[in-house]
Amino acid sequence: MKIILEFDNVMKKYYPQQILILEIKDNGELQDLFQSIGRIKDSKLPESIWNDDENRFRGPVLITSGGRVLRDKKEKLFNGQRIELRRCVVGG
Amino acid sequence: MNSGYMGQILRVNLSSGHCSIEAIDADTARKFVGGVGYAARILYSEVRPGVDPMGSENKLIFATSPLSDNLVPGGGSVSVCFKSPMSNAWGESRSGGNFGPDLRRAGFDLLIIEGASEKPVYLEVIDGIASLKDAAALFGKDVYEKTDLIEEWMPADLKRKSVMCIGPAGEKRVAFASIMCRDRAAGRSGGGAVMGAKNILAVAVGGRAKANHANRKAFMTAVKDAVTTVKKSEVCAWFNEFGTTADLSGADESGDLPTKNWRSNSWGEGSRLFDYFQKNILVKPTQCYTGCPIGCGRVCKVKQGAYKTPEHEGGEYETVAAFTAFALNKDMDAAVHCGYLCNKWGMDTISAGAVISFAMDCYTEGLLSAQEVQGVDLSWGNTLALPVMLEKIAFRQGLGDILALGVRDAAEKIGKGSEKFAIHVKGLEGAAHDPRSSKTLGLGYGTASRGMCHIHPVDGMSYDKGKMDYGLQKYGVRDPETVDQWDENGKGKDLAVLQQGQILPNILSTCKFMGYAGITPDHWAGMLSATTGWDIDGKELLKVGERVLNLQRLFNMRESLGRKDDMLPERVLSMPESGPFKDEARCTIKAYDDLLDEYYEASGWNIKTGAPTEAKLRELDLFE
Repeated sequence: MKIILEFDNVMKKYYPQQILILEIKDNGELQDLFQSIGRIKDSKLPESIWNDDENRFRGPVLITSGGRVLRDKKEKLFNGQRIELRRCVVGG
Repeated sequence: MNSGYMGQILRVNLSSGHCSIEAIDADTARKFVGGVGYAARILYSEVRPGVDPMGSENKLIFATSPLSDNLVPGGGSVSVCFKSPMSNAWGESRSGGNFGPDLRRAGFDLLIIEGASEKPVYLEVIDGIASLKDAAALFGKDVYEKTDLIEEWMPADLKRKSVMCIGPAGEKRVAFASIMCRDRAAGRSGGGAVMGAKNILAVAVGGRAKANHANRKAFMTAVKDAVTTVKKSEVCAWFNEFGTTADLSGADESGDLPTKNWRSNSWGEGSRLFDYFQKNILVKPTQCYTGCPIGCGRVCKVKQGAYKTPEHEGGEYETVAAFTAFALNKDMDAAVHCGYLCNKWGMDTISAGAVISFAMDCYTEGLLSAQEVQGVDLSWGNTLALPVMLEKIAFRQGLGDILALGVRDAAEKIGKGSEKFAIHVKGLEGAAHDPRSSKTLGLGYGTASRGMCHIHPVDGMSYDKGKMDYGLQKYGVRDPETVDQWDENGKGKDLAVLQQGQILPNILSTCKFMGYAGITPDHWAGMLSATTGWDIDGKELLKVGERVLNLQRLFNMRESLGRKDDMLPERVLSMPESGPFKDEARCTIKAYDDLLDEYYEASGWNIKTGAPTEAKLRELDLFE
């Protein structure tokens, strides 16, 4: 199935296009999307963004869809779902 | 008196032991609202220039606003204002927790503490009744012990109560001693030292009083709108999910992590440290005050090993950066442990980490002898030295007695050119964001009223890099999406408006993170209007912000501060000595003087001196 991936302005510098359509297996889960996100051709994911050992984003990247933050790696995704990657840069 | 306020100020004179009640002044309230605004008006009027910050003539004010209410997003905070022993000028600090609303439940909007007590005392304020109590049994105890004891002594049937106290560091007048609300701190600027010098060890408040809202229905609608805005914000989700520590990896990657006492702006360890924290130390997220819609706090615990640490609220970005990157310490357990020790002994974590990294710099460069460091190996990255030095500072032992002065005054004592390693503005040590990758941040560090702090200037970084506008584009800030973080042009004008807007959470004694999560001056104005009955909008509130900034500036000018005190340390303006940004020319601030000129002009200040012009003071109704 197809997942439409969008990026905010901070995340755009890590991906070659503004919108990407990724193919994952039917009835796939968020963790299946991670398999694809980390291996997009020409993308530059530094260590600060991507945890290669655990195959998921590190800290400051939020994965949102329909105004909701997706947290559970086992969350079911659906065909045509739009998912936005947002990176917050704020003072702590 | 206007609705929204409790209508009363409690004044406690420690020299005479006399407590008195004054009415909130309606005109002052409208012009300065509350928090750091109302407190600035009092301190400017009552603390004459040149007084010793540690002397009896200094005053310490705990200040709330009509929005210090658990229902309001960020409404749990309290502002503490005083003349700072770090800067000898304007001092303020904000603490999370419930103290702000609980002071109002006790019946007061503000608490002014003046004079000095001959013997250790603590103040209890319950349901409008204030009493100074003997604190001999508290003296020498740490923050947790003091808090536990006082809470036990307060009436058991009092449901809403809070304690703020100093630890041994405050009693010993460590210049950067904090005032603690258990694990939350009014940490910066040395309010704990001022309390220690006055011999007041704690303030306990509680009660059942409630403010009247001019229009309760409108207030609840405005609050609901604000809470919804925050909860919908991705920043809210981000803070709740990751806490402030998540900045470690991003700041490190982007040249925003001061490293090795500011010799570099990147380290390469941020991601590993963050992962370790998440996996091994984080217990759960938490709220610092009841009702917070964000919940950025972290309950932490170091379960085993040399730095075993009990469960506490900690692991904040600034703290872990100060005890890792500042000193090149790679052990996250130790960093969290050091944060805990600072809470326990009552010291500001940023200044404490900074002063140790300053000492490491001096030691490595041969400015401190083996005799002076008393056998402590202050080599870069020596984890073991961190808790040892913290104890020496808190209890003023050996070199710790000098470091307890803060980097500016410690450098003066050490001499030998150590001033160039003392990274501070106006005596306050630099926080854990690096202006070489955000020029608005740099100018913010230079011009902030209390110095190189982690609150006011950091809005510049979030604007430059995080592309946040805080709803201030309509008031003159450029669209951050059109602004290059590395560029310097135009940022003086941007900062002038950013400061006017982003001082509002401090005037309202609310949490600044709500601004990150979508709360704008218009939201604040809506809630304030509904509770006070004023017809105030975002524009007028920004004018209040400008007025307060100018009054704080006048306070500082009167203490002989000026343009020279708005300059940044040379190291902070210069290219990093090492790390991935080492040879990048964009990692310098090339024309800081020009930035300052532009900022002064936009602020209506004299370009040569940095003083507010007569025309500006008349415009703000501050001319006297």
